[in-house]
Amino acid sequence: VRFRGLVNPWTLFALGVVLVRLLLRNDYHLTLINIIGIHTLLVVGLNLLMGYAGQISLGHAAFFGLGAYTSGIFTVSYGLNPWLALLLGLVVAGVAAFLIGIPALKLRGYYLAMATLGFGIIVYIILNQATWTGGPSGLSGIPSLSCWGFPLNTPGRLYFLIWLLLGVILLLSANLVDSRVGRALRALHESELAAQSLGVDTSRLKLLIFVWSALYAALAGSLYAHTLNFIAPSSFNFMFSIKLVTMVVVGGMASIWGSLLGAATLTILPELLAVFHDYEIIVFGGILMVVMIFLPRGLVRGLLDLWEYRRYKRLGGTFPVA
Amino acid sequence: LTLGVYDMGAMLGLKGFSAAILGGLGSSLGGVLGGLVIGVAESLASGLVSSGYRDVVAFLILLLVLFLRPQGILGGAR
Repeated sequence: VRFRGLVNPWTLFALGVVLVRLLLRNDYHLTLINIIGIHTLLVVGLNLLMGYAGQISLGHAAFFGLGAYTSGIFTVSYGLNPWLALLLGLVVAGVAAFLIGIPALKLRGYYLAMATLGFGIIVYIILNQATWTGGPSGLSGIPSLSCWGFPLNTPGRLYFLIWLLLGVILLLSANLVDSRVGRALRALHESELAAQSLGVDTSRLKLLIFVWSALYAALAGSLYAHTLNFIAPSSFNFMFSIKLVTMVVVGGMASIWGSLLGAATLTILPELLAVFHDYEIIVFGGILMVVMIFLPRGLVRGLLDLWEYRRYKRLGGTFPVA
Repeated sequence: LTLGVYDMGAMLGLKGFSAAILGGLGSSLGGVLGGLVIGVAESLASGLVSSGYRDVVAFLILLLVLFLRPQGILGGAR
């Protein structure tokens, strides 16, 4: 990533992170912002897989759940250090993604979607039924993370950990996308055959990005478990996988900043719409439909297009019809 | 006895899709066969293993079919 000038998305991001922390004093708001950070982490990972590599996954909540539950079980039942549990969560989800990815990524289109969906539902049912996961009532009393004896147990303290980590992950992802691997991913998205003919080992690349994306989800899951100190299977069900896909599409496919915007929009919107009570979900669905009809390329690209259109009109030009 | 809930269709739809893939997409006889196999396997599993894991069976079958024979039982070569 090249930093052009003082005003670029990265400095704005850093400024935004500091400003939000200074302006928000309410624990409820800070928790919401932390959840947005965790969702963004998930959505960036899924966006690498869906937006860049063009491989759909309808089972990403499972990797999120594997990360969260590994962290939860090892800290609660075995008294392990939360950071070690987080690492174990990464290992468990990575191995699971590797094993399921080898056969699944040979499939294309909705066959791949169904395979990942089936995997997601199986993991959810096991989390819900097994006794060692706490069953439907979940696991409580998960310890918070701490930094050299300094406990990160309030939303305000966790805020810096989550958003600093997110900043690093975003930078890493933006670099990955700009690299040789990133170009290979986009080639794979356009045409697998063409990518192969150019010397890209597509099956290896698909597996790599699938595992990579699962690692993001597991990291998010562990952070989630240690943030809320409580997890229940219902947070990792099929609907959450769908919600993640929606966040990717609303924010914008193949867009790092779109992931942030998509996650933020779809996390805040239900909270704002709580005034509609039972009709919340209808209004929510309606807004999503309007966004997708008028900004089919996602919020970031759509809003940028609108802005460029306005500027063009002001300069007296006739806008080329897109 | 099953209670009617507003989202009961989601699981039914997904299992229907599993049955269609098991039988072979594009083959109507395959769909009938796939539905029958999944239904019987689910009932056997809830009787022999545990009713909590009943829903796992349909998706386990789906994964196995996708990994071993993606064209389904009655589907022709792809």
